[in-house]
Amino acid sequence: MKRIKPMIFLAAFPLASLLLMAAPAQASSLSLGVTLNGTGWSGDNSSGNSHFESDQGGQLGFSLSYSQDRWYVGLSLQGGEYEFSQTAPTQFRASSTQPVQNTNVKHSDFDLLAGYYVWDRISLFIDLKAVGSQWQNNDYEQGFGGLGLGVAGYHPLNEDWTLYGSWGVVGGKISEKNDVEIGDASSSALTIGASYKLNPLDRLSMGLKLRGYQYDFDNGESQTHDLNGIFFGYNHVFEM
Amino acid sequence: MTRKFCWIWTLLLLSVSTQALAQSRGITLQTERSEARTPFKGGYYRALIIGNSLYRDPAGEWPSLKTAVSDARAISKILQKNYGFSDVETLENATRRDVLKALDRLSKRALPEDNILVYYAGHGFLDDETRRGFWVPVDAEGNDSTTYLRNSTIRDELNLIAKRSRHTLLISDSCFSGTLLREGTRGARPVGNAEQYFKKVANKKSVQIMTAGGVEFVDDNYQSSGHSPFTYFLLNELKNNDRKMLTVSELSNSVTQMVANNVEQVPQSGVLQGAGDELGEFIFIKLDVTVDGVDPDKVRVDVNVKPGKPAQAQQTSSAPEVKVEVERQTETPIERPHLPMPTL
Repeated sequence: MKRIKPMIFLAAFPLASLLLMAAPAQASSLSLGVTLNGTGWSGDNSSGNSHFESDQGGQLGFSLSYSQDRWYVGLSLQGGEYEFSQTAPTQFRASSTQPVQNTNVKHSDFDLLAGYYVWDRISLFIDLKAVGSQWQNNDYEQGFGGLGLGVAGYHPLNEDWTLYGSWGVVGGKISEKNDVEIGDASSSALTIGASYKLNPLDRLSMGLKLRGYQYDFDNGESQTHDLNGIFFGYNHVFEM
Repeated sequence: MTRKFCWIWTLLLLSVSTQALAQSRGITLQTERSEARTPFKGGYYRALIIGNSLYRDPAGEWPSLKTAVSDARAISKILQKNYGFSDVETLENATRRDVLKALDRLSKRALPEDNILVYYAGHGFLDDETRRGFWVPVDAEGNDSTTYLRNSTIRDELNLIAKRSRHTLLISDSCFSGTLLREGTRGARPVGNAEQYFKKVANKKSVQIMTAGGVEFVDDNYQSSGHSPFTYFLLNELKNNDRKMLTVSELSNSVTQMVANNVEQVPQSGVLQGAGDELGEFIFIKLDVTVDGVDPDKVRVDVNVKPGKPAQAQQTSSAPEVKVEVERQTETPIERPHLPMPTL
């Protein structure tokens, strides 16, 4: 996590600049959103108990975004707990490997992003992402952070319904709670959803989100994680 | 009575069309339409603006000027922004051939009711022996006056333009430019019946000249303003003028006074001899148009200028056509749905 903090600061400056730059122009809005992810967490350990799958779990997320003309910036925080009654993700540590069973693991995602509509309905965005996992059996923490690039778009079906989606990849480093780097990680995420306009300021959304992580540890081990599932969301826009 | 109704109807139409234009761009126009009323038959406002700064003379006889190009740009801008000129050709660092070709193009575009202005900023030359004056183009070669533009040539070109248009005005900001003119006197604007006065002078032909000085050297870069003294005060007067209609005589009096009070040169004004001047007046019409949310510098107002429009069409109405454009069109915001923020 040591590298994530300076990266967040580095990214915060251009993002803040964008906000300031965009401030005097027109067509700006601030949007607050809440999302409920009914995801399952599954994956494979390269050694030990090879496959793991959560019994139940989910995430609750909050997001705040500001858009101005073609620009948008925002941050999102999601977190949740997953229950593993059998095999859980193995703890591949710097100095050891610890297979885990019958525990809960907390998962959190933090995104700080900036995007630009390169076409009317298609935008490109950069995402400074931090992912954290915390095993409840022994309080072990591990996470990865990195910079991602994505593309998002939408297609209005009619006045009320809009289809939207996004896809992107992130590359970064895995580190332990003590900021020791223990490997490399990459992830990709695909979101497909539909949004319904309740009124000009409020929207409901629902869809499918597929996230895949590939962890390659320095000790030669590897691990994959898939957090796939449906989501429901609500967005409110504050007119500016 | 019928005439009044015609006015109202025309202004209503103008109002609707400008509002429609504005709304389609997501902006609102507030036009002071009374500013657009002129007492004379409609005519296009055209200008040829020449600014010569970078001289190429290998002999070094003609050093570069600091302000001529910026003078030309500023004049071009103010005419378009504030006085409804839309047919404006600006030449920067023009050769002799460039100037002659531009004058020729201008004369070909001139229509009978047009108001045509030619502005020159650059070096001038007076042949002491023959007392002939010249404009000095950027490709002038040393003392070879055959590479200059003789005043008589300029007069010939202006004559042609003047014959084809209603009002012609030459403004020359160069040394010895006073050799271009013959002094003429025009009546001052009466205090009482100004409307009658404007009708009278606007419908009489005019071929006027304003020069930066007489037969003398004139200064460059007044108080580091980036403009010559003459153009500095000319711009100042055009910018701060609070009259809806400003005649060249009024403009000239103000500028002459201001220049003479501040530098060692005395601008002159008069008429072009033999070009059919009838003691009319070139009238500058100041148009103040504001567009909500748009910088005033980005708003451009044209009066009657649509190159190629037949002159007869204008004579049917005394109401000038006003066209308002936003120079750099603001992007119409796209109504995007407020979707959840994408995350990876």
